[in-house]
Amino acid sequence: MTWLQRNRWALLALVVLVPAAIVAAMSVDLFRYYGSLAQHPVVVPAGEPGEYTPQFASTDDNGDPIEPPAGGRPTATMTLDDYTIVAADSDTGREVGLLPGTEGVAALIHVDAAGMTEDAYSCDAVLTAPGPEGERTWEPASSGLEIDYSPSGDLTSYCSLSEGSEFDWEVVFVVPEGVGEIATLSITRSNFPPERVLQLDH
Amino acid sequence: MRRRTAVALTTGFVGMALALSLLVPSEEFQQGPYVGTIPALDTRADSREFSVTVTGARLADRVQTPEWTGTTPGVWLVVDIVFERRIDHGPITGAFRIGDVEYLLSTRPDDASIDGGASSQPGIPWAGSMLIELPLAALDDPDAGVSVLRFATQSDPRLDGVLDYTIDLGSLDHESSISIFEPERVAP
Repeated sequence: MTWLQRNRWALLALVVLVPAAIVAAMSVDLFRYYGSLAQHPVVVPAGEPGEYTPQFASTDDNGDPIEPPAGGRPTATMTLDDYTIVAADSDTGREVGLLPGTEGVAALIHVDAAGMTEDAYSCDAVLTAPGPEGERTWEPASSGLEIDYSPSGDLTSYCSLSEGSEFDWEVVFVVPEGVGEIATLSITRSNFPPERVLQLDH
Repeated sequence: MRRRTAVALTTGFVGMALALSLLVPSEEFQQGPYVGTIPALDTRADSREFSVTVTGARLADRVQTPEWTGTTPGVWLVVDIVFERRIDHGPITGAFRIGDVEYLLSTRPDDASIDGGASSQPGIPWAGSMLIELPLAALDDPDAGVSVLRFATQSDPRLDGVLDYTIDLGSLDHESSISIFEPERVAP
């Protein structure tokens, strides 16, 4: 009986166990990587309402835990009523201070948060589009700093669900020219990292 | 014979294990940033997360903004840049190194410096100045000719992209007073 034959089971164990150990060691990072990837939001066709479940506070002002209502947590509905791209060389673009090579995107979202409880956290929105280094993400433009515009009148610039009412939320972005058309609008929960809940198609 | 073979094999494996353990990169190396370089003035350099163009560098005894006057017993290094984020929204930061000594960016100008007052969206660049307050002795440091300003998106750039720009402090113009503009968006 040769040395290889005598030690075949030990060698077979090595052949199996060494790759298994490498995979096990690397899978920790692999799971962490997959965990850090963007969420897969529910896609809502243009003009249709989508159901949004906010994040709720877990404790009250005194630090006591908040029990969820017996009937379950309320939800809000969100409908993308309008999605407008504003060119920098348009009258509106010049008025709001868009620079050449950029464009504005104004998304008008009707939010029905009737019945929402006070412990609901606010929501936010992001635009995403593919880029040379992977997905790019734009946050709403800062009024006065990035654009000379702020929603007024019946429009709000924030998504305050805790007021428990219906409102029209206008969220404005400044993006490089050509991005508005291909970008995806997502509604996020404001935890970290932001969790995308709804994708409102335009 | 078998015993001799076993001893030789064991010795060989132990030697290989020792050699392998010496070849394993240190934790510092494994977690270090991905370093790119900015080759020259007015040349854009890209890291995965951001881009930087250095448009000017000078020394000054005093720096003036509309709302702040920066005096110093040392000297200001003022570096003008254009930067943009490439993936997500956020600021830029940096650190300046002469030999083994690292100087942080000055927070004294507050929003008047680009690291304090600008936050770029992907593809939307900002222009402005970074300020580093140096002791006068730094100008005479033997390594002042190859000092490095490292740009990053966060103060701890481990496993992140950074861009290095080499500065010869002795070659810079030294002015008694300069004015800087507040950071502003510029056309892509």
